[in-house]
Amino acid sequence: MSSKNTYDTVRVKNRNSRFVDVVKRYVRNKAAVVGALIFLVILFVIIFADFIVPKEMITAYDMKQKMLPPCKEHPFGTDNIGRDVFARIIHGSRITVGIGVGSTLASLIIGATIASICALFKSVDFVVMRIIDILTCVPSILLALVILAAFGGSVPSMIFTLTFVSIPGFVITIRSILLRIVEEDYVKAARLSGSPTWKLAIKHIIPNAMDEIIVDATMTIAGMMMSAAGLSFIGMGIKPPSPEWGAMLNFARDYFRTAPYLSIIPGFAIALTALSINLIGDGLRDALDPKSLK
Amino acid sequence: MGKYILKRVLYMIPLALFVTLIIFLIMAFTPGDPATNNLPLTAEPHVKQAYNESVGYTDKLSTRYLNFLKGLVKGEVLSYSSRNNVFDELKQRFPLTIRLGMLGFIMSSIIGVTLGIVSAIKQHSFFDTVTTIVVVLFSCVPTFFSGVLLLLTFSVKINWFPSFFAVEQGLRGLVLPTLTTVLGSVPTLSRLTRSSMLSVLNQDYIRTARAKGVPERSVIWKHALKNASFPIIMVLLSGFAGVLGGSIVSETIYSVPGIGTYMTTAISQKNTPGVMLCAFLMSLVYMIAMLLIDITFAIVDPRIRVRYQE
Repeated sequence: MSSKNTYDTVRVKNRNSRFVDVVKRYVRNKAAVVGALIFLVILFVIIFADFIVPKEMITAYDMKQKMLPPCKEHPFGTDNIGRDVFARIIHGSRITVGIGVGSTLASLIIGATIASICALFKSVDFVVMRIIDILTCVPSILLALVILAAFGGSVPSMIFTLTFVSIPGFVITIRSILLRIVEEDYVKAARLSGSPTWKLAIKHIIPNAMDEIIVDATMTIAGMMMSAAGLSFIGMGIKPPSPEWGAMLNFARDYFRTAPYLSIIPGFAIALTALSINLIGDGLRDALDPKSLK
Repeated sequence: MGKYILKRVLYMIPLALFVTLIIFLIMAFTPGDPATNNLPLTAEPHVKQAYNESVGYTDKLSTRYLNFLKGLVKGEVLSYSSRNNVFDELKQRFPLTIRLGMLGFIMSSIIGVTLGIVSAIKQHSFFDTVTTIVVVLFSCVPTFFSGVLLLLTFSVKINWFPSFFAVEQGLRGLVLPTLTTVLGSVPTLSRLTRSSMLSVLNQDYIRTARAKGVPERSVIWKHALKNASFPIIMVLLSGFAGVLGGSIVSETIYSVPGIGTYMTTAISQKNTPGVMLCAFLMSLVYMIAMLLIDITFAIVDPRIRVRYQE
């Protein structure tokens, strides 16, 4: 008995905090580190965009220098009226990534609130789930197009649209996570040993649900970014004078025979950002839940 | 089971109508009117007013919605922009979208599910590693960008396929749009299939089967695949919705005259009846697919079959 106790105390002393454990497991995952590094670069660009290229360069045009392929002065070339594509990509990062993060945060907060209310109150749950059943029958792209057409293609209306369209999905996922955790043995054990509900929520349910929700939300950022760019691409979202990457692609469509780099560069920017975010999400999932390591 | 299917089919119509109501309300309470969006900018206010009155946009909300319902029954819904029957306008577009969607769905299901199953069975093998990397890379390329890249390589660099769609070209014109949809949905499908197959392969009964000497082929075909088919069908369900939405993007890239391109123009022209009819048809197709999936579940899983028989 006593030997077992000493073993326990020794183990407790050597145990790192959970945060350190998670970071260690994350760093071991090469793909996740690469993703994080790429994202750091993108973050740097977003924060210091004004220092890299002055903001005026987004709209500054020079008709004499139009349609230049990538060269020394214009690393990404120039477009049909001689605007520098490099400057537009740098400043467009704020819009595209901003929409992704903003709409994910908004739908996460609203979705999590609705889901927790559903998990707590059976009567609300029934009504909300029926509404969601109906909403999932509306093809989400149709809903998005209608709302966007109504509110115009500005950044706030894009965030609003994406949030509105993805709330049902968030409610369904978070609700199922919560309901599953409530049924777990350790929650039952804690309840049987007399923990009050608030303590159950703070000590057991929220921390355990948090991991899964964070991973889910990270992956959603990339999805949201791509949907925003896609809506702009089909001409229903952010309109072309803006350097949003999807809008740039839409605009480049008219020139893809003569100037393919105008399409390839913004498309590559979107893909690279999405890749970095997805790699981070994958890494986080494995780091937060060692059981999922295959 | 028959009774259950009948109930679901009857439930579909009000649900699809409800979808049109949602679309109707959003379009009714937001700025813009058919005249402003269809007539030239210089049109006089009284001309606009006359236009709106002639298409019936100025009627009461309830009258407008009831008119739509009546039109739906009669098979004659008038467009706000061309004033033609929307049913006639969609007659050629709808089969095209469905053909494109189904082609994309079937192809991506076959490829995605096969890739997922094989890489789960041969976990950690060379094949698995390569597939996983390719899948991760492709899942980050948005459909519209892979579409543009396909266009650049296959119709600009090497002139194999047309860069825009024309009905006379037949199947040749459908290759690139289908490929675009496939590239967009295969990554998700194969990733989800792989993980659900893996979770089945890690179950105790698989270990038991292997331990008692069941040949590996029968472990996979009889024990694993049968149990994994449930989540895989679930995956296909989400894939179908994605294909329906994704076809709008590929229709735009290749200018396919399908529902997707019709809908985007109808929305920007404030052609409410047109949008509502599209929404009605799309949600019906979606719900029929859901029903088919539920029926498949019942066939695959005896536990669910029992639940329906009660």
